[in-house]
Amino acid sequence: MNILEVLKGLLLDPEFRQKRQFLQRVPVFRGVPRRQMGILFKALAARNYHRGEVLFSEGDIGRALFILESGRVELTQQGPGGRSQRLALLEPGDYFGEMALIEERPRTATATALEEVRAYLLYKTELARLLHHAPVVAATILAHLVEILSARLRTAMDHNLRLLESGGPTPKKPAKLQEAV
Amino acid sequence: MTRPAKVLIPLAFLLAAGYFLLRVREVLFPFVLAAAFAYLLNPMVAFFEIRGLRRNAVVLVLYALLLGLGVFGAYHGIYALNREIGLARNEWPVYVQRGQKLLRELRQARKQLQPLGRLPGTDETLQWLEDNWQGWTATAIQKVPALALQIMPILQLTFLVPFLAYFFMVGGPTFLEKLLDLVPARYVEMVLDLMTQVDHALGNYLRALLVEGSFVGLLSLAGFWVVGLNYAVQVSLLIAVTTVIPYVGPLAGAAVGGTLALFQYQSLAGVAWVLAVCAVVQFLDNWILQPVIMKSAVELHPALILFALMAGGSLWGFWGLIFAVPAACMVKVVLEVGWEWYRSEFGIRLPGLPAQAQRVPLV
Repeated sequence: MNILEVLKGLLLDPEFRQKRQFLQRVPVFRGVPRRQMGILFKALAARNYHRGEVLFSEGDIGRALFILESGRVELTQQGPGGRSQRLALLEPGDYFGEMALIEERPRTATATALEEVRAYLLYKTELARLLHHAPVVAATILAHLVEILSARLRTAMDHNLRLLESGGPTPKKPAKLQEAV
Repeated sequence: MTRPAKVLIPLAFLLAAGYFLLRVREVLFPFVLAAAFAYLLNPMVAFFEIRGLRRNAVVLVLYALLLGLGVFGAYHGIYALNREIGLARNEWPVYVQRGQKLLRELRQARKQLQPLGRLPGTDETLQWLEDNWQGWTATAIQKVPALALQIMPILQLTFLVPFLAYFFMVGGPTFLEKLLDLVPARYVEMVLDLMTQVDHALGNYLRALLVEGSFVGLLSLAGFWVVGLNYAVQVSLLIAVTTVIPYVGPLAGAAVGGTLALFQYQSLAGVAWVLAVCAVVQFLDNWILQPVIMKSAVELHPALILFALMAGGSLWGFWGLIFAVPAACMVKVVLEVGWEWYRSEFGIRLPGLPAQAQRVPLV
C-alpha cells in the first residue's frame, strides 16, 4: 500500500461514496452533476423512524420531500366510509411528498413506517437556498418536479375525459392519489 | 401511553432540563462561546466535506492551521505589545504634559474661542479639567495591572473555548441528527424549516459581520498609517472588534483615535485627519461594504438594534452587547417562521390558484 492510498484512506469519507451512489439512483436527483452531489448531501436531513411511526398524516401541512434510504413506507388515505385504504407501498430509493417543495398544502395521504426506516428530507427552504447557491442542482430537481407534475396532470385529464365519455360522475380528485401526496 | 402522558412526560423532562441549565448558567458561557465558534468555522469544514473528505480529518487540519496561526500571532502579538508598553511608558508622561499644556492654552485662549468663550462657566470647567488632569492619568496608570488581571478569565477562555469547539465541530452533525430523531415525527418538517431559516439568517449575519469587521479594520489601518497615527494597529483592531456593536462601535473607535491624535499632534488638524479617516471608512462601510456583504443577512430596524443593545448590555454587560444583535436576529426569524407556520397550519393564508391556471386551460 503506497502513501497515496494511506492518505486517501485517512482523508476520504467512505460514507460519502455510498451516499452518492444511492442518491444518483433516485430519479429526482438524476442529472445532478457528480461534483455537486456533496452540496446536495448538505441540503438533506436524515431522520430515523421506528416501525409503526407516522411520518406525516393526511391534512398536515407538507414542507418536505422524503427519500427512503432503507425500510418500507405505506401510504394510506381515508376512504369515503372513513376506512383507511392503501395507496402505495414504497421501497428504498423511492421518494414521496414532492408537492411540498412547490407549495405548502395539506398532505393528501398518511405515510407510515412499516419497519425501521431511514429517510432523507429535502425541505422547501433548503431548495430555495440551493436555487441561489447551487442553481444547477436546484434546476435539475425542479425540472424533474415539473416533468412529474405535467405527467400527472395529463393522466388526471385523460382519466376525467374517460369518465365523462362513459357518463360517470365528474371526478374531483386526481386519478392516482398516491402521486399527489 | 395515553395522550396526556405523551405530552406531559417530555414536557416535564424539558422543564427539568431548563431548570438545571438555569442553575448552572454561570458555567454555560464557555460552551455557548464554543458553539458560536464552531458554528462560525463550520462553513470552512463544510467546504471540504462536500468534496468527500472526512469531517474529523478536516477539523484536525483546520485546528493545526489555527494553532500555528495562533502561536505565530501570540508570539508577535506579545512581542509587539511588550514594545508598545515600553513605548507607552516612555511616552505617557509626555502625553500627560501635552494634555496639561493643551488645557492651559485652551483656558488662556478661551476669549478668542467664539462662541465657547462667551459661555458662562467655561473658565471654571477648563481650570477644573487642568487641575484634575494629572490625577486622572495617574489613576488610570495605577488601574492598568487590575485591568490586566481582569483579562485573565478571557485568557482562560482562549484555551477552553477551542477545546470545546473541537468536539462541537466533530460531533455536531451527528448530535443534530440524534436531536432530530427526538422530535415528534409530525413536527420534524416544521423544526427543520425553522432550523434552516434561523441558520441562514444567523449564519449570514455573523459571517457578514466577520468579513465586515476585517475589512473595516484593514481600511482603518491603511488610513491611520497614511496619516501617521501612533498605535494604528491597536486602534484599527479596536474599530474592527467594535464593528459588531452597531452605532456604538464606530463612535468608540473614532473617539479613541481622535484622543490619541490630539495628544500626538497637539493640533486640531491632526484630530481632523484621524476623524476624516474614520468617516471615510464608515462611508465605505455603509455605502459599499454593507450593501454587498449584508445583502442576505436579516434586516433589523435601527430602533430594534438599539433596544437589543441596551437590553443585552443591561443583562449581560460586554458580552451582552456582543451577542445582542445576533440574538435579536434569531428572535426575529423565530417569530417570522412561527407566524408563517401558524398561518399555514390553521389555513389563515393558503395560496390560491395562479391567474394563468384559472384563465387559460391546459393545452
